[in-house]
This record gives sequence, structure tokens and C-alpha cells, in this order.
Amino acid sequence: MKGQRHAGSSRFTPYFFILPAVVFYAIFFLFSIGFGLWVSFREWDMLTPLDKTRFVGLSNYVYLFTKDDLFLPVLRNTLVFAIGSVLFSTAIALLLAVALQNNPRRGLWRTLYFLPMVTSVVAIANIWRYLYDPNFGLFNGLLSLFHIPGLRWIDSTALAMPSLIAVSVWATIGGALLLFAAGLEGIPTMYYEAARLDGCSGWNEFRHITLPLLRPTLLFVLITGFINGLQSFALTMIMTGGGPVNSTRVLALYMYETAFQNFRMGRASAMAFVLFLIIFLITLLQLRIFRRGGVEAH
Amino acid sequence: MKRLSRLLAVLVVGAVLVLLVGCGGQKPAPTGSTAGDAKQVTIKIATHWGQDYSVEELMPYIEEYQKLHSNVKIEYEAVPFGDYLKKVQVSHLSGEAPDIYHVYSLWGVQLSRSGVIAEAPQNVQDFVNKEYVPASIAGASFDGKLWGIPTEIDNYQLYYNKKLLAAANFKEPPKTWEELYTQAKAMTRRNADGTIDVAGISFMKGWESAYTHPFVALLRTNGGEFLSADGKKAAFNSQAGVAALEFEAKLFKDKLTDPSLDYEKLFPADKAAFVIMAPYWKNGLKKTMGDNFSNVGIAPIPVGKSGLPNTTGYTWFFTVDSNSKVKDEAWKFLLWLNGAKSDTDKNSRLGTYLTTLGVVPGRIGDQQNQPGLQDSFSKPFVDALQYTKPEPNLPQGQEIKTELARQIEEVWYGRKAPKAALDDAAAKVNEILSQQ
Repeated sequence: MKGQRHAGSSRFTPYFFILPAVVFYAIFFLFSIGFGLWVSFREWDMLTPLDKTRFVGLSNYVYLFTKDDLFLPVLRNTLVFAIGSVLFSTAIALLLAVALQNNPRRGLWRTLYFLPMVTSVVAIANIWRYLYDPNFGLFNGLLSLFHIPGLRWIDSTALAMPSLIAVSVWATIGGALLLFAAGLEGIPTMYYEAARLDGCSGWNEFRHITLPLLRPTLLFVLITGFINGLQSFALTMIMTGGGPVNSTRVLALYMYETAFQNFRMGRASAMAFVLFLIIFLITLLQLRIFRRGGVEAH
Repeated sequence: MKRLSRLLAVLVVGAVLVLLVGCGGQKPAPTGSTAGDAKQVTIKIATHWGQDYSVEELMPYIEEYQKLHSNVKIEYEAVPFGDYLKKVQVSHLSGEAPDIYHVYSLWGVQLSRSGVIAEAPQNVQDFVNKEYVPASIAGASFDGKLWGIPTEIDNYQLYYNKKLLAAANFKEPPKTWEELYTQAKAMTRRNADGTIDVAGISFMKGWESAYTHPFVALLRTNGGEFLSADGKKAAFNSQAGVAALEFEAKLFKDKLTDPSLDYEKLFPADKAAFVIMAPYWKNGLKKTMGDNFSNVGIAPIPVGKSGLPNTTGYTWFFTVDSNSKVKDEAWKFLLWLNGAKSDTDKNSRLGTYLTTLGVVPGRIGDQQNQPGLQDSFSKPFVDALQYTKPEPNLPQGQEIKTELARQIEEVWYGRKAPKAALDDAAAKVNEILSQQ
């Protein structure tokens, strides 16, 4: 009996341990999500008391897809930015990780590549804006040395998005590089030794050994990369403000403008949930594609 | 059981501590609390001065008022212009709003209809109606009421570079659109690769007013209007408006300017001959150009077919939060700050401060008497107030301007014809207006 009582009381102990985290999660996550969802079904300017807001059902969502002629182009910009940034940064980081694996100065190189990750995005955006300046910027200055006409980097509707993607790639390579480096360290060398014994080398090693065994790391890098890329805000806001002519306007920026400049919090909340759904679906797709692989699986 | 009780006690204490740290901190003394014999009053004021502009010259007046009224404490907060509207929204929601706001007029309709700001009391209305120019009064008025005390009024004129004009043998700045085009073309210089070295004219860009205000200034000099007389429909897509935007498009198409140019860098460096801009750039230009500031000339906006001088502008005003517990004290402070310093000195304290910022106060007494407004830079802006029509105060005004700005930008980049762009903008604007 004494033993049973002791077992019964310890059943609740773990819940008390996690209670603070649950309360924190409930207030700052569940409540926020629930409130945002509630607002997305209402017309609210953030100034009117909540009890006086008007319920509009799915009107905000319908408006985005039927009457807002900027929403779908902005969504397309967001996907282009995220896909461009993630694919390029992942590919470059992976190649760098492999190339630096046996480099005696790999610590120094990894540090240098990681530095942008610990730099404020505001500082990065402002510096790159000056680099891209059509009249006074470094890049056009270098082009002029070779008598090449300067480019309107972030002032051209064709070049603005690739210019932003380049900055994002530069800023995020470091994080992916470190993760891939750690992943590569985790691959037992016996696989490579066995492959070399069979005459395999270079690209075949990379394709048939490194990539499959790096799948879990790749999955993590891609998922987190896409989540961050689809939610990108500060870089665009500071460098281009969404221009020229909305060519770099991404959803997070459009959402911010809709809520805080246009006083349409309901519509902005609807945008947020559309973005949430897109991120969720892309994450599910990536989980499906990369679900098998890794050292343990082999 | 004993162990469980101890664990529970630790967790409860821990949770209470977390709550105290997260939600606590010293609560500010409630405004209007009684302390000693006199009723102690704290007035909180938030403006965008201090972040984007120096506020050193304003502080002595605040200290002066506190010395004259020993029971009054004034807490001043500087908020960047880009964050100011969010500050109003969030602080009003959270119940931590300042007592006094300094509001850009375009936000005023939304703030008044949502019950955020208080209508000006009768004595304030009498003061404003007597002492301010009509354009300023219009900027602080909507729905037939006055909502505060106007402060600065920013109208648009043509900045020109005297040195470039003289080098191109022009004796005077342009008076008509045709002259503006001719002079801008003569002063444009290109590099060997075709890029612009000296722009005939450079336009502001990057935020919605940058695109809309110069366009509306040109529209008005061509006899056009932004809205219909009843304010219910867009009128900027009239023939006058299309002609104004076609004029802008021609400047871009003929490469007298380019959307990529940064007027803030080019004009001070003698790399742009003309800019359509408001007076608040005065101090910035003086700082950048130094002695070369004497090369800056100000002229009326060149006129279109109407042949009549015209321009647009925007205004700011002080107002009081509707939930403020110290409304009377707040208005009293504002009247003191904005009224004449004395019977012999017709300038106001705020007017003196605004003049040091290089902007134009909306108060007549300041316009006539502030020494800093009588120079060749500021006087044209003051003189133009006679015919300045401020942008209309509309619900969703910011959204309306954004729609128009988007279409103007499309024209600048050659992606849309002016008429199609203005018709599309008008359709959107009419949809927004019809929802009000």
C-alpha cells in the first residue's frame, strides 16, 4: 500500500516540472496563434476596441485571392526569394563543407563564413545597399575599372530580387556550413575506405555516400532555411522597401504594411495564416522527400 | 508526500517570481495623483522629434513650463517617424499611451474615428481659428471638427541649383512645365556608358508620399484635383492628372532623370538641377553642403496649362489622447507652448523651435515674425501657403496614397501608360472610399 501511494504521487511530478514551460507556451504561442486566427475573421484597425470589431467570416481570405491584385505577386516573390536563397546557400555551403573538410585552416574559414550569421541584419542590409548604389557603390566602381557599364542592382525590376537573394545567400551560408561540417564529421570513414577499395572516388563518393548519409542534416538545413526564407522581412524592408515596383515585396513586409500602415489587421492576420499553411505544406513535403537516410538508416 | 509538497512549494514560488519579474517593475506614479498640497500632474508627450530631428532646442521650453508650474512634470519621449503610428496603436491598446501625440494629419481621421484622440475644446478651437493659416487648420480638421493645434506645415516647391542654372545660361528658374523640361534637358549630362552624371531633375522615392506629393503638386498647377468636390471619388485621373503624369513620364523616358537616382546624394553634390521637395530639408542641406548652400534656390512649382500657381502640402498637429486623465492640463500646456511668448514677442515657443528645424510653422504670427523664415530659402515656402492646399484627410488615407504611389512608380519604370496607371489607381481608391 505504501509503495502504491508513492507510485501514484510521482505520476504527477513530471507535469509539475513542465508546467512553467507549458504556461509560457500557452500564453506566448497558443494564445497568440488563437488570437491571430480570431482577428483574421474580423475587420480591425488595431485602434477600435476589440468588442466593437466586426465579424466578416472568410472575407479577408477571399479578398486576398480575388480582389487583392498584389497578394499573389507578393506570394510569388516570397517563394522565389525563399527557394533562391535556400537552394543556393545550401548548395554552396555543402560544397564548402566538403572542400574544407580536410583543410588545415578549416576552423578559420568556418569562422569567417559564420561571421555574417552573428551580424545584425540591419547592418548587413545597410552595407549592401551602399555596395549596390548605382552611382557611388563599390560594385559599379569595380565594373567601371573594366569599362563595363554600371548596373541598377536594386533599382532594376529584373535585378533587384537576384541582388537580394545574393545578400541572403552570403548571410546564411555560415550556418548551413557549420551544420554540414558537423554532419560530415559524423559519417564513419569506413564507408569511404570501402568505396575506394572498389575504385570509387570524387563525384561518385559524394553522390552515393556523402549525400545519402547527410540526408538528416540536409533535411534540417532545408526546413529551417525555408522557414526563415519564407518569413524574411528586415532585409527587404531596409534594402528595397519592397520595390522597385513591388518586385521584391515579400509577404512578411506586405503583411506589416497592411497591418500597421493601412490599419487592416484582419487582412494581415489572414495573410499570416496563409503563409503559415504554405510553410507547413512545404515542411511536410520536405519531410516526405528526405524521410529516409542518414548513418543510422544505413 | 513530503517531497511532493516541497516540490510544489518550490514551483509555486518560482512561478510567482517569474510573473513578478515579467509583469512588474516599478509602476509609474499615476498621473493626476495628489501629493502634498498641490495636485501633482505628469504629462507624457511623444513626438518624432529627437530621433529624426534635434530636440535640444525644445527642452528648455519644457523645463520653463515645469518651473512655472511646479506641480507639473512633463515626460518627453522621442519615437522615430517610421514607428510613430505603431507606437500610437500599440500604446493605446495597452493603456500606456502618452497624453499628447504629435500626429501626421493623414493618420488623424483613423485616430479620431477609432476614439483614440480627443476633439479640441472650444478655447483651443478659438485660438487655432484666429492664429493659423487656413491650410494648417484644414490639416487638423476632419468630420467637421478640429482635433488639435497645428504645428508644422510642409508644402512643396521647386529646389534648384543656381550654379548649374547659371552655367547653362538660364537667368531664372522655370515658370512653366515647358521651361522646366527645356532647362532640365539642357543641364542633363551623361557618362560615356549612357548613365546619368548630372540629372536635369531628381525625384524623391521610397515611400508613398515621395511619389504622390510631387505628382499632386503638378496636378494642381494643371488645374486638377485629387478628389471630387464631395470627396467621394478619385479625380486625379482627369485629363489634368493624366497630363501631369505624362509630363513626369516624359522626363524619365527622355532620360533627364532615372528612378535609380538618389536625390539626397545628388542634389547637394551639384549632380541634380531640380528637386520638388518640402522645406524640412533645409537643415540637412546646410549641413551637407556647407558654404555651397548658397547655391540652393527655391521657386514656385512650374505651372501647367491652368497657368495658376498651386501646390500641395501636408501638416502635423498636437492632440490629446481621449483616455488621458490630464486632458485639461495637456491642452493648457499646448496652448502655452503654441501661443505668443508675450505681448511684445509675437513668436511662439514652438514656432521658434520649428524654425530651428528648418520647417515652417502653421501659425501666422511665427510666419511673419520668425527671423529664420525671412531668408531666401524659407520665404518662398511661406509665401506659397496662400495657395497651398493640403492633402485631404481621408479614412484609409495612407492606403489610398500607397495605391496611387504604386501606379506612379509603374509609369516611372515604363511599365504602364499614365492613363492606364491613373485609372487603375482611381478604381482602387474608389473601392476604398466606398467602404467608408
